[in-house]
Amino acid sequence: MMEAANIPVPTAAFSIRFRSRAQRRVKDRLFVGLCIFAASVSMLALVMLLTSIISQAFGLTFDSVLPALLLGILVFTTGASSIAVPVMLPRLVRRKASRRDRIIIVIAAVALIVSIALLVWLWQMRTGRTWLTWQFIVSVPSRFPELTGIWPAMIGTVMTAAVCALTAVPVGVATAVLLEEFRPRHRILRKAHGFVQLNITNLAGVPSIVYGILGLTAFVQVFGAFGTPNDPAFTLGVKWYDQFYTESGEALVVPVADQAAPSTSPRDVTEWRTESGEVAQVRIVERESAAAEIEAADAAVEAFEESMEERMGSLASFDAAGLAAAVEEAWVEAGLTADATGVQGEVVELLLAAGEATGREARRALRQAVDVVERAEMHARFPGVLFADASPSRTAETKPWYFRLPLGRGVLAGGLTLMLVVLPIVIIASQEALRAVPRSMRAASLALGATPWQTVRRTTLPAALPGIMTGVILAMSRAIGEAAPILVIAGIVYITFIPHHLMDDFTVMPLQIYNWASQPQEDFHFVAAAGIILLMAILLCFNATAILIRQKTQKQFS
Amino acid sequence: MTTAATVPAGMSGPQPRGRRRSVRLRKVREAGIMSTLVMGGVFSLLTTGAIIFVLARESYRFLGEEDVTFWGFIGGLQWNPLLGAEQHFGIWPLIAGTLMIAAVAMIVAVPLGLVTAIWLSEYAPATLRSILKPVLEILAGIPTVVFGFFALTVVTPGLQWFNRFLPGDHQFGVYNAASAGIAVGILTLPIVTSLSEDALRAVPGSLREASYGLGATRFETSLKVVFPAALSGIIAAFLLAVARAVGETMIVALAAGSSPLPLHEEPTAAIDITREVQPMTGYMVQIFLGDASNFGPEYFSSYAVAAVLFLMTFVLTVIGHVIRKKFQQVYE
Repeated sequence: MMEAANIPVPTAAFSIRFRSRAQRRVKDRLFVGLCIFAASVSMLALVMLLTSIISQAFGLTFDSVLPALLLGILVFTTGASSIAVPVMLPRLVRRKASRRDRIIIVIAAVALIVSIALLVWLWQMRTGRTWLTWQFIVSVPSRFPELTGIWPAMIGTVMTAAVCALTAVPVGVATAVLLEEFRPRHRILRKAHGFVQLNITNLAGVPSIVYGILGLTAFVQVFGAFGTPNDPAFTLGVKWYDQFYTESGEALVVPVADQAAPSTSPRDVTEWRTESGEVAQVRIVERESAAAEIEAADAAVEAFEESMEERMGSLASFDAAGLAAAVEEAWVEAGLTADATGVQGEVVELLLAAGEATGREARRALRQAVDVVERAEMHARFPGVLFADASPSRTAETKPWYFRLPLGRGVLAGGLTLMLVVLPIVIIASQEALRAVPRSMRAASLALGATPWQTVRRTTLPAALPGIMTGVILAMSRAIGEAAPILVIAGIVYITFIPHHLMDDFTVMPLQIYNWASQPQEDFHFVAAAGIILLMAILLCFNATAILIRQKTQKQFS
Repeated sequence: MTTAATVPAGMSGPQPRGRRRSVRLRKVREAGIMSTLVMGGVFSLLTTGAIIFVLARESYRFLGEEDVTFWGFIGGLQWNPLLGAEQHFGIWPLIAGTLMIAAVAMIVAVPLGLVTAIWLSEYAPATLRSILKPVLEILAGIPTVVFGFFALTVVTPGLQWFNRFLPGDHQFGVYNAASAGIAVGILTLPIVTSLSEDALRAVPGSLREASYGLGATRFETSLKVVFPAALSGIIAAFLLAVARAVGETMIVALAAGSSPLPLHEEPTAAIDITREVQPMTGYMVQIFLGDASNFGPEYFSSYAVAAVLFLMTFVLTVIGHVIRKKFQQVYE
């Protein structure tokens, strides 16, 4: 059994050791075992990846890794047995099952029930909060993990992906058509053709961060040919304003020629308009002539601050009623002239929000409250007044079609960079789709008198369209998941607004997730997990669409 | 550039229905469309050209800086551009970090991927393969930042569990090469599996049948007949996976850490996978996140690092391509 008789071999060159059949079969079986083990380890890695992320996003966390591994195995068993049971059950019903099949199905059924029960039990054991909420989807990023959200990143992803698709698809398909349908015959041109093909293979292997660097130079700075992004040489759809704030806190705008124009002086302006374009009544007052009044206001506010600080230190109970009384007393004592209704309520709210926090938190809350009071006081004393030496801030009103050269760190630059990243993928996928169209269809079209382009336009491209669309969707899902090039283009900027035009600052979902994942607080890791689930759900939709298209439109050309 | 490849003769004949169109106009239109298509091809060439131009220009500027020499950059063992009084720009600590992570990744991905590929192509029933292949595609479509998160929150704590068996000076930290390498390995696993499986399945059935006919088992057939026949494709897949691992960014940025290996003090650090390492891509992320003042030597050094990275992946891709083209056996 173990060792077969060694048959003497005729020559030295022919030295095969003969092994018994049983031994060889054992080896074969062992290898199958190894194979299944390897495949299971790969699948387990995938399952672990998904379960760990899902459990973190829904507040099921572990102190150590062993339970997490067990959870992964549990989910794996659930998945495997939930596939195995429906597959095997019909055989059992039809009495076709062998003994081995019966054992397998019993094991699978038991495993399914036990693992589902365990999973339900674990779900009951959740300790943390659910991080993937509707609130999370529609909120903007925040310093606090409970309040943070992914909305601007989602919109940024949609916008960059749209730019990427609109540019990558025409260029990619055109290149693929050139490479597949118009193969040149001339020797030199054939060399060029091969060179372009090799070049595309190479481009597909370039790390995406290198594309980010290219995009930074080629799109963000346009090779420095049009000045710097802060001082663009060419702009379209933007109006520049000088913005003033009156003492009542009303914003006034004065149009200026361009970004580099000198600041406007309030003395030169004849007509004032608010941001919404209405004419505003404004009194221009020289600061010197109102010096006494300003000083009085400052003194009153300072007195209020001091007496509030004192009162808060000796407050018996830190609640709304106590605070309101304290504010009221301090208000009267300081001799403020501002209308107390509303302002006092705001002050109380600000102080309450800080709670009984001490030190910096409390001081910051008081500072904010005093700012509110100061504004109210100045408004009471100088309604509709703008001091003649007020300095404006330069603001821009941009149209949705705002465009500038160089592009700067905006959505357009990000989308075009992603276009560079996915272009080779689109080209290669389209080439494969075109190659799958049988020669006979082209020959038929040409024989009917169509020109080569007409053949491509009316015959080859329509036939290859499902394949091209599948490739494009897969390429787009790559673009959506790409973080490295966007990181170079946009940097980690704290974006709390939705991009209004293609030049606006932006962030994308993978970058936002990276940002959260690299935070030290653990709560942000859970936020990142919630973001990942959302991102993967979007990608799953994309992939499902691709598979659906492939299956719906799969025509057999033979 | 080139005229139409296959214009059939006699297309100027009268058409039975529809408007008659001028042949000359049609020819002009075809030429216009052709040149549009050629622009697409030219665009891809321009992209490569622009990458090389940008990297070369900024690397040249970097090498022109004070304290930076070409040989010091190519041969130096100390990389210390951000901290300390003196800046050192020797690329090897970064290259060592990249290679270390790529090596760990390949140790994870190649055996698992290859065995899975052989099993999928030679053993697995068709139904199972039709399930597993799309699953592999899904795995390949997962964004890399997800793997980075996985490395940081699952793999690293998992490795730290082993710390109790390790000597005190070789403990797994929060950031380490092994964790990032394992995650990169899982990332490249579908690439290795899918491409190797394609190569194995491209081997014609007649070879297998011949082998069975000579009395070989399935194991012997797969390992001694099919595997050698598909070797060129498998090596190409391996090289592609290495190129992917070398260029991987988000995983190493999250899980590998941010201090380059101190090769000038202890050269053996290059094989210690418990250490925090900074690979080339990790350094680039650090710079572009704004850790460095713009337009100092440390800023331009990231371009030089990118140039080295580009060269590495370029060489790997071209070798893979050549192997696939030259050593591909054609069976008829």
